[in-house]
Amino acid sequence: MKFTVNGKAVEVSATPDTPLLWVLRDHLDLTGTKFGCGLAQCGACTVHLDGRAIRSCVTPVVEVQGRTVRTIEGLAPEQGLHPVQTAWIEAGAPQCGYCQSGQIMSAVALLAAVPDPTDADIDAALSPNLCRCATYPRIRDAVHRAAARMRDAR
Amino acid sequence: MRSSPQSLSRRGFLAGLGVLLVAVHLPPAEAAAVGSPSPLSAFVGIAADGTTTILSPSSEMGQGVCTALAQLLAEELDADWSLVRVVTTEGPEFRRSLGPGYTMQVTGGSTSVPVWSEPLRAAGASARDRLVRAAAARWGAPAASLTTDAGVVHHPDGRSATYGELALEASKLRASRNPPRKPRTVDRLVGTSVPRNDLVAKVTGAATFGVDIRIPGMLRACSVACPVFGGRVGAVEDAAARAIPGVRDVLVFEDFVAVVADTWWPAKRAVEALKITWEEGANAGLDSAGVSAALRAGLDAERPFVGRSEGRSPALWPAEEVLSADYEVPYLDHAPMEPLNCTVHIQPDRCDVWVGTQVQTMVLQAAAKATGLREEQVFVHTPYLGGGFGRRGNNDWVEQALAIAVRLQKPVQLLWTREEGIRHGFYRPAFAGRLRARVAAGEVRGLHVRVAGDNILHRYRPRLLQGLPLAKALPMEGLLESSPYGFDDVRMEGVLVDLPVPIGFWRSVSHSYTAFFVESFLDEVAAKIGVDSVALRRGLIRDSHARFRAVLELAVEKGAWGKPEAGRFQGVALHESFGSICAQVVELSMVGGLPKVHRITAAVDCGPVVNPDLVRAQIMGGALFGLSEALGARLDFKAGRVVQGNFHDYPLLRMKDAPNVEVHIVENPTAPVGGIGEIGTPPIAPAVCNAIFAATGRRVRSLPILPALAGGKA
Repeated sequence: MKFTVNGKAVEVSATPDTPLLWVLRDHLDLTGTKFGCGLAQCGACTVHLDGRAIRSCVTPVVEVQGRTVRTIEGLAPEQGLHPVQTAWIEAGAPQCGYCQSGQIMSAVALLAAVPDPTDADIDAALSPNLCRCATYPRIRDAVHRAAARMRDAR
Repeated sequence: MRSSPQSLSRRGFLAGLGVLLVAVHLPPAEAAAVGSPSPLSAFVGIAADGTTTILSPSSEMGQGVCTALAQLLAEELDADWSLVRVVTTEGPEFRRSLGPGYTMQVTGGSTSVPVWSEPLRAAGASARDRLVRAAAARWGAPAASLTTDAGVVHHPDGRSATYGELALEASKLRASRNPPRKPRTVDRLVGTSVPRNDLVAKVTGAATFGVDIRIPGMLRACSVACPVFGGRVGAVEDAAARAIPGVRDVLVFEDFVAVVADTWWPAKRAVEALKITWEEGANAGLDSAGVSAALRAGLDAERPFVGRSEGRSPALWPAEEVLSADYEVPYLDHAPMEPLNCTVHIQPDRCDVWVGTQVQTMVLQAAAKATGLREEQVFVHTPYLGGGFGRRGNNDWVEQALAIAVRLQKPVQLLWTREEGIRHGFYRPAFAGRLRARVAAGEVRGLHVRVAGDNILHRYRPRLLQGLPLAKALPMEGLLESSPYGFDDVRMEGVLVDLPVPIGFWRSVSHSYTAFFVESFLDEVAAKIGVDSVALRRGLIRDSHARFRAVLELAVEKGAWGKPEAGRFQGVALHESFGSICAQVVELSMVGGLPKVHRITAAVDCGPVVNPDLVRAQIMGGALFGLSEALGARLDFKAGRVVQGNFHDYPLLRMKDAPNVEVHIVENPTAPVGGIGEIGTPPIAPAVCNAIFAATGRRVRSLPILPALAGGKA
């Protein structure tokens, strides 16, 4: 199975039904993407497939053949951080941190589609992502901060 | 080191468990380049390059403890904060060095900062004293003439030396008996919101959790236990499971079956392909109705344990003066986001265990027992915990992983499915409460509370402890001396209802229901006698509990009590837990018959504050964690099995239902140090239910709220 992850071409030998999540974690050693539920109920496994946020725990690897995947490890440029990551730090959003990769990937996808989101936009886009520490208010704040940063950078 | 972008700051790179992983994973040459620290106390070592490694006795599970504890030590050490990194550690040697009374390493009960503030400050002072004396010896100067500033010792003549340059010499000096302390007034780290030391790792995916541990040659395991508590494995038909590519073995144990594979997905699929006949045992008849009936029978029991009794017996209250209501809460799971997992590597002369645990000592002892090695040969590594909330204070899945590793004799990582986690938890026990008040002449003169449910301490040994008043009082936390309210007549009772469901310490433990019972019922009383909810509480707070007044007043002021936005309704609650006091004012509206919480305003007094931002984060998270359970979560039982299994039927709070939480801190630097991790949770359920009553006139007496409102059960 061949596809692109974080700008690199990869080839893996996994059964076609293996969820992308486990190919990333166990075959490609990209452990920033997390397992939380296995049923697309928690969003911890969120990655981008051709730029759109998907739940990799229910996406068979066969479906990503020839396509482009981006994970949390592929977000930051060579030096420094992605503006969403910087905003997350400014907002002091993470607690246990386990869900945050998925939250950030959902936020990046949202901001690509809606550069200046309202609270309602954020709630709609990020409600698939559970946070048991309930850092939601700070995540909401972080998304607004990220939007401002990205606006300033344009 | 895996997934450690070089673009990150050195501090970010090594934050948290970095040093530990370096020590474990890097070849010796690279590890040496990082620098091996010279030990200056049980808690701190400094390498030649100045890298200051603080050993945390507490696990980082999101509460920010690895930042807060480091602030305390670094304060007295006068360390360069940019060079500080923190590792959670355990080992018999570390434990011994902490003193004879220290037998068990536990992160729980919101105790980390209260328990460790003084030992860590003392360790910092002792280390600083040794560094200063090392400089004094080097320069032939009196130690008293030297000063320190952020990791540097200064001589009055302008000479200076960094802690890194002095560390080796300092480590050879004997510790002073009473090293000088900095005056608290000059604290520069403690009391400030220094950013958590794990932020960069946690926004880049570089943070290593237990599930991310990779050991060369490691196999993966998935397990399933009998769905009925206490049941055993009967027959196992495993041909289909073994046929799945990648599956190495099927291991049958007394009460669970594990599949081992090269990667986890085939192991999980193979578990699903097993045909297991369970010996379900005595608990196969357990169901929710039975649990509820047993709890309610407990409310009528003859001989309760009396935890607090003042004034007249409630039996003598005139019937016309008595108000009464029964309450109930369900079993709840912790459901940390990171499913339970444990990695074990057994070698002839050592055993390494990597696990997100709140009880390192229990892990260590279990590993020694399972392998036959001495405790000194067991190494427990604590990566970041993907949430704990009390669940990781148990050792059940660790014992499974150890058993699998002993059988395999290969490194192995056990990872549970979400379903296995929810169906084999150590749950917040279900409880019923009967509350009675004596009201005369428009005033509350008496309060009688009886709670009935199972006792968590009955799951722990030695059983001898269970008879002690302290153990019997555990289910009554929040009803006894910490309760702020005074009445002519008070009686607080507990009834043990022995049920076959595993229970454990869940964020805020018994406070999670005693606050709901009492703070809701007081609101009922206030409504009955026509008094404002806040005014009633003001009148009942005992003079000996004056701190509660300041907390209540701050929440009332900042939450604009009595002045909600149009169409919104307010509720209030006040509760002390783990040495800290929290009041919350909630503002909500009813949308389609269901509550929509718009705003939570919290005030907290936790005594001295190490890091205000961490306090605000914990009160915010604690309140919303409580809101999650108050609204929708419950566990049901049918035919001996937990009905729920994943987040579609065990619904947790999501972003769209999470209001902003404003947190205000009551400054109280001279009070005893209180906890913070659990304090935000107890008041939220009653505050929300009180606001629902204000909005609708309906009193919710059983949680969770949403089914109670929908089903008219309230």
